[in-house]
Amino acid sequence: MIRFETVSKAYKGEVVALRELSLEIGKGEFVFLVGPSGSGKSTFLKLLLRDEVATDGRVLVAGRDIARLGSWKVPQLRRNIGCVFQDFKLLPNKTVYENVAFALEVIGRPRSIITTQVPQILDLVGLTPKAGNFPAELSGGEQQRVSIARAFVNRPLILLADEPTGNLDPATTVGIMRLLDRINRTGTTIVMATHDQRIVDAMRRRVVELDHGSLVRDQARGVYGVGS
Amino acid sequence: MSRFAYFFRETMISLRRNLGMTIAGILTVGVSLALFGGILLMQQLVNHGTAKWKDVKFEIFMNVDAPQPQIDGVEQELAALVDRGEIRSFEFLSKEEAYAEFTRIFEDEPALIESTTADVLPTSFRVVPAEVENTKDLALRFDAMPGVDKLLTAQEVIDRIIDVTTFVRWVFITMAVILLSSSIFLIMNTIRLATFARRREIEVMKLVGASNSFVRIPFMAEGLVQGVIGAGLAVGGVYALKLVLGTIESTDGLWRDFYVTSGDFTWISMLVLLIGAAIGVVASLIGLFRFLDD
Repeated sequence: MIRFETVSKAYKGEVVALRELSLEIGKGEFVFLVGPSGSGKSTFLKLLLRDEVATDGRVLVAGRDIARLGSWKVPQLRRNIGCVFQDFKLLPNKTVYENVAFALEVIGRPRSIITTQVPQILDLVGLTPKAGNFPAELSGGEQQRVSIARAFVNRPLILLADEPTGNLDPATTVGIMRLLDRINRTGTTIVMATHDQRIVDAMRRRVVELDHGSLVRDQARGVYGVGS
Repeated sequence: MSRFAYFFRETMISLRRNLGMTIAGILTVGVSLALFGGILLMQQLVNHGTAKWKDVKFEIFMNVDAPQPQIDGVEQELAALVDRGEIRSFEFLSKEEAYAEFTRIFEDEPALIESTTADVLPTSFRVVPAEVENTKDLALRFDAMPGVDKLLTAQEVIDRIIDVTTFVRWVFITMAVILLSSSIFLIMNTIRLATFARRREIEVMKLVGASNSFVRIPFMAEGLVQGVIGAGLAVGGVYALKLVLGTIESTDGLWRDFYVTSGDFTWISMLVLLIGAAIGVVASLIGLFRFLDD
C-alpha cells in the first residue's frame, strides 16, 4: 500500500529531514511512527500527502510513484488518504454534520450520497446526538471524533494521524484509539505519528522509529522505547 | 445541481463578508469602463459627423462675382478629369445651396444670417479625386484657372476636428487604463482578503482532495460578479451619455451630422460587459495565483 524506496528529503538550508528511508507498509496494517520532535515524522506524512516532494528516492502509494502525479491528480491521491491532526482542523462556523458533509461536498459527491453517508459515519464515531452542535460546544475528544469522521467518511484506503491524541486526556485517548482500531479492522491502513508511550505499549502494533531522519527501528509488535 | 448551489452560496457569503472592498472594486470597474464606453460612443459620434466629408478631398471656391462662363470652364475641366478617371465625382454648390448650408451652420446667430444674402456667397465645387494621393496636384491645376478664388482642402477641417478628438480620446484612454489597472488591483485585493478569510476552509478542502477548480471557482465567480456589476453601471453611464448626445442631434445645427445609433450603443455595451467580465476573472486568477500556494 505504501512504499518508501531510499527516500531522502532535504529542506532549503541543508536541513536533512529524512535520510535514505526504505519502508513498506501493507494494506490493512496499523503502524505507529515514533521518534523525538524533528526526527522526520511530519515530513514522512507530508511526503505521503504530496504536500512535499522527496529530494531523492521514490514514494509509492498503491503502486504509483506519487512524485510523478500531475498536479491535477494530487486531489485524487488525497481522496484516498484521510487525515487527522492534533488540532482537529474543524471549521468553527459549521455544525458537526456540516463539517463532515463538507468533505464530501467539496469533492463533488451528490447530495443523495451525502445524506446517507454522513449519518452512518456519525453513528460509527458515536456523535449522532451532537450532529447539530458546533465544534466549540464539544469536548476535545468529541472534536477529534468529528475530525476522524470527516477523514473517514469518503472511505479512504489510508488514514494518517498526526499526534491525534496529543491534546487529549488519557481516558479520552483510549476512546479515540478504540475508534481508530475499529476503522483499521475495516481494512483501512493506518499510520499514526505519536509521542504517547502508553498507547503504543498498550496496542502492541508495528512500531517504526525515526531518529534524525533515519530509520532506527522497525518492530512487528513493538513498544514505544527499546529499553522500556 | 448541489454543486452550483454550493458555488452560489460560497460566492455570496464571500462577497458580503468583504462588502466594502467589493463595492470599491465594482465602482472602479464601473467608472473606468464608463470612460471607455464613453470614448467609444464619442468616437462613433465623430465618425458619423465626418463621414459625409470623408471622401471630399477639396473644394474649389469661385469668385463671388465669377461669370457663368468661368464657372462652366471649371465644370468642363472637372468633367474631362472624370472622363479620364482622375476624379471620381464632383458636386456643384450653387449660391442658394451655399446659403442653405450657411444658415444651417450659423442658425444660432440670426443677426449674421439676417445680414447675409445668397449673392454674397461664392459658388463652389466639391471634388472627390480617384486617388487620394493626387489631391494636391489636382487642386493645383485649378488654382490658376480664371474665376477661381481659393482652394480649400476639406481634409484640413476634418483634421482639426480629428486632432481635437484624438487628444481628448487619449486623455480619456489614459484615465481609463489607469482606473482599469487599479480596479484589477482592487479586485485582486478583495480576492486576497477572501482567501485569507477562508483559509481554514481552503486548507480542509485541499486536505480532503477537492480539485483545484473546485477551490478556485467561488473566487473566480466573485471576481466575475464584481466585474459584471461594474460593467453594468458603466453601461448605464454610456446610456445616459447617449441620451445627452441625442438632444444635440435633434438641434439640427452644425451638429446635424453628428449622431449615434442604437446599434452603436448595443455593441459598445456588449464590449463593455465583456471587458468587465474578463477583468473580474483575470484579476481573481492573478489574486489566486499569488495567494493560493498549491
